[in-house]
Amino acid sequence: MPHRAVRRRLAALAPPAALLLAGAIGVAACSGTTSGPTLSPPASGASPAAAEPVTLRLQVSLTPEELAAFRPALETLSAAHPEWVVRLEAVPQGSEVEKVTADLAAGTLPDVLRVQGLNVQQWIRRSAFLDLDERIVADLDGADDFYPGPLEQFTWQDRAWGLPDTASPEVVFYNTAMFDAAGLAYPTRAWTYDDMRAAAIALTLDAGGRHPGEEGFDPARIRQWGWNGGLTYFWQNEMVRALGGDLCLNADCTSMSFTDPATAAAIEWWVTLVRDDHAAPYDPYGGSQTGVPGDPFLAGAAAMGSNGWFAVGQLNAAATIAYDVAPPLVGVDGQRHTPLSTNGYVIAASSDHPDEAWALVQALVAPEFLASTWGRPGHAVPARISVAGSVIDAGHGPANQGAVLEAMAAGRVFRPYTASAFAAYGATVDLFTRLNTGELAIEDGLARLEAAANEALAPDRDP
Amino acid sequence: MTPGVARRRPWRAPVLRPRERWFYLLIAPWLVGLVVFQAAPITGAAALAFAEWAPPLPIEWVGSANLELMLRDPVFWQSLANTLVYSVGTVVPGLALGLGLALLLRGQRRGGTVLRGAVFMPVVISGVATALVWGWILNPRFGLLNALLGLAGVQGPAWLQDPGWAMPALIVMGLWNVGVNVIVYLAALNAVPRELHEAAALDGAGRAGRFRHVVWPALTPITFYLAIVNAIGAFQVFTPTYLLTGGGPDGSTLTLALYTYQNAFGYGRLGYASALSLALVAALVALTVLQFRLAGRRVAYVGADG
Repeated sequence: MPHRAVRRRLAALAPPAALLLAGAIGVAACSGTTSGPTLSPPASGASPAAAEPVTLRLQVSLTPEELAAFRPALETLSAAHPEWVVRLEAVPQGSEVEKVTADLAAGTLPDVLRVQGLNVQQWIRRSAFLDLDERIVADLDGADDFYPGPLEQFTWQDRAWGLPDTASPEVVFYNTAMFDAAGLAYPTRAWTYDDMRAAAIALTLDAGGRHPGEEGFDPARIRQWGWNGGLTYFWQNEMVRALGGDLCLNADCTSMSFTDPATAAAIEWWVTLVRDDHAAPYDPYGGSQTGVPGDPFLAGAAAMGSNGWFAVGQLNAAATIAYDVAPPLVGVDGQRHTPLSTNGYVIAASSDHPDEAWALVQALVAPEFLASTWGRPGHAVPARISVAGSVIDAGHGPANQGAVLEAMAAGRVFRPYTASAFAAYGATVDLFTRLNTGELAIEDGLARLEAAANEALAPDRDP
Repeated sequence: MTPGVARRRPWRAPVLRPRERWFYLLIAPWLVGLVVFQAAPITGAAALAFAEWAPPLPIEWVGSANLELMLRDPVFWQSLANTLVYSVGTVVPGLALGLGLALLLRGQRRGGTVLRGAVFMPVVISGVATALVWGWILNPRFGLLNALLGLAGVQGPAWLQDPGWAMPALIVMGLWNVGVNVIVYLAALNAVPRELHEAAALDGAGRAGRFRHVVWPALTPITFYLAIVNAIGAFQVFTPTYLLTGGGPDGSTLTLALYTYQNAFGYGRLGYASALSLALVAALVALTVLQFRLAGRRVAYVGADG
């Protein structure tokens, strides 16, 4: 009978099938999609009597180029520390928030994480990480060697919950070929925002080669913008502060003003650059005006722009744009104001090995490690004052690399940076666009921006 | 013995026949997967809808606060409205287009297989790749669509950057996957009994009459099925909005699935995101019930016994 035959065959297959199934489940349970190779110390260096090395999970989120430099440096570091076995877990850039959120929910956070500065406060404020303040005072002289801007990103309630390793401050990038073609002098250290505006208008060209203000100029067919974008979201607050305003009403920027007269005037300065002078695109990253998604300066569609230092690597790799850099522009108060993005290390509060994790963090922010890993073109700038200069290398462009050190000293982190900042961004970004296109009148747009931002930020605002 | 109360028989584990034991053994891996990866997370999400959870902080039960917040949240209503617009915009034309293409392809002798393959091809292409290609097609200055419109002397809009055009553009993208409907309709067309065609022809029915009185009634069950399945798929649309618009411009393409994702993984509001996902399920159930109410009676089920 066929059924019996099938049953006999299945019965014969059952034990191996069960073994295979158990094996598959075991493999699935033990493997992780993000786990990288385990970086063990060399066997020859370990004493047979030495204590069992501690396994530390280290999560990083790096570009392929950064990972190519980081991995061998970490291997060298691990070889010098037989007391650790570091398991490197590389998370795709852009997936960090999802990964950490899922790990926190599952209770599987790695021991040490290298996280993006803009994300870190939301987790610090939930006690996800260890308070490192006393360890920093005891072992690192209170972090005096770290730039204050990046360090602030890891500080909450006057205590340090992590240490920055790098930062990428914004400097002024300019296309020397476009300046030469226009017969304009290059930006200098003394340039103000009004200098930039005059040059931006002179550098803007439509398809017919006309400048804004000239008869027949067609704003719908601009082929070269003077500046790479106006004020397109609230994280560009340093551009407002440079002109005498300030979107933030408190330290963590959970309360914002757009209608304060000085702030409104600063915003209007930027809006008119886009809306009336047509010297900067209202959609700088979307590509709807330039045809290429991403930064217009990097796409060769803008003559100047404020960009993070990481852009040096992209420009040098592409080698299609002749460029140099200048320090951040001088604001109306005579000071330079520029934002910086930062990265740094935190230790999970759930780590079983906090002492070893702290030792690993110290090694990862040690000057020699920072210089060997980050001090190179295309990478961020080491966040320690003593070693930031390692990023300057006369062997490659741009010529005026010293500008980045001025920017590091002046840089402030993006704010707001609490969890609700991302919801506030979502609620306001299109209002900025409509303001810049002229769809919204200034007064109406600013009132709407203020209401939308403050409503979204309310959950993180202290009473 | 207490009067009126029947004594309960002690529970005994049911005795399974060997064939039943095999059945349960063989479906066990699937059952484990269903419980661990589907039922448990769904139950957990349903429970979380009544809590606020920002891990690693402990779960805080907040009763119906998330649901109340959702009802007051204008962005939720906007995302729900956008989802409805997208669903109606893709499902109705998708069914019409699917049926039309199936009718055209059905009689195709030469190259029919190639044409059917071409129509179905977009379905097997990754959604991410499709979205990126459409991002280029819809680029207002350098995209294919506006270039073609330009040849006809028409100035194309900014599509994905224009709040008025972004959703229609996404709907057109959604129709890219009409191949599934075409293949299902082709199979259904081939299943219409030849005798019915012949009988209708004997009664003097022309092509239009045969379609109206024979083909269409025979297709109503499959149309009803496709309408429900397509609507469920449309309600869950995520990839194109996530990749191409992020819900913008001005929230015009923010769908419920994307808003749920943003709250969970962008804003760290897992409780509220769970409430939103409950709303998505409720909306889907409501839509399906509505479809049964509106269309169920018009469906003609043709069985072997008539």
